[in-house]
Amino acid sequence: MSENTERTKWGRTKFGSGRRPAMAIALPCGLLVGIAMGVVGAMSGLTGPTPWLGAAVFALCLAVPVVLLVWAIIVDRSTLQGAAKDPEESIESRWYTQAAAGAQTDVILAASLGAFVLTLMPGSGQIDARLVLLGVIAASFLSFSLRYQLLRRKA
Amino acid sequence: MRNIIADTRRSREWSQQRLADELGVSRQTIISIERGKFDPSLPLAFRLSAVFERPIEELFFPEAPDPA
Repeated sequence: MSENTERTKWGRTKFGSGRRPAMAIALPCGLLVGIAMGVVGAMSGLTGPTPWLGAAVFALCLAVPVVLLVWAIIVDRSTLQGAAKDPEESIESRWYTQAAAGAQTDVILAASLGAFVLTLMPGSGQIDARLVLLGVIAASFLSFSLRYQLLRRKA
Repeated sequence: MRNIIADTRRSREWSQQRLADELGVSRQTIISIERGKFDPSLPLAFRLSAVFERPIEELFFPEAPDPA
């Protein structure tokens, strides 16, 4: 069977004869993992008093990132429409590196400032570590996105 | 770093997308190089040199030093 090298929006797999559309594998894989995790969440009581509604929400929330993760792992970039052959030589790669470095500095500064302010606040007590970590992740994403867009506009 | 990439490309009647495809980079990369906002890596500069069949020093040259 000849290899299909046609470029499409979602690309084709890196492996297998005939190079199947990457989404044809990523979509069912993501949905299966999402549903499985939803069921596990419901059975372990993580989803509260309405287990199956919680399981459905759990599955929906997990399915999208897992579909995209599987797609990113299996897709052959050379079969994507408009994808550069050498992305690391492109200016987008430099924007990414600069934005990531800047975001790291921002997060370190924000975390240091936050820790300093909290030590001065009387009765700040215990803080939920999950909230702190979510805050760090949100700040990283925000800083990276803003910096990347800024670099893109300047170019 | 200044360059004559835009002029060289136009003399061949190539679009920015055509040059980007020849080099395997994004069109935005070509736009930024032509505007002098992005200095390409050495491998990319060599590829530009090969594509245009001209030595690198004919395509890129340093900014003129500021008068003291």
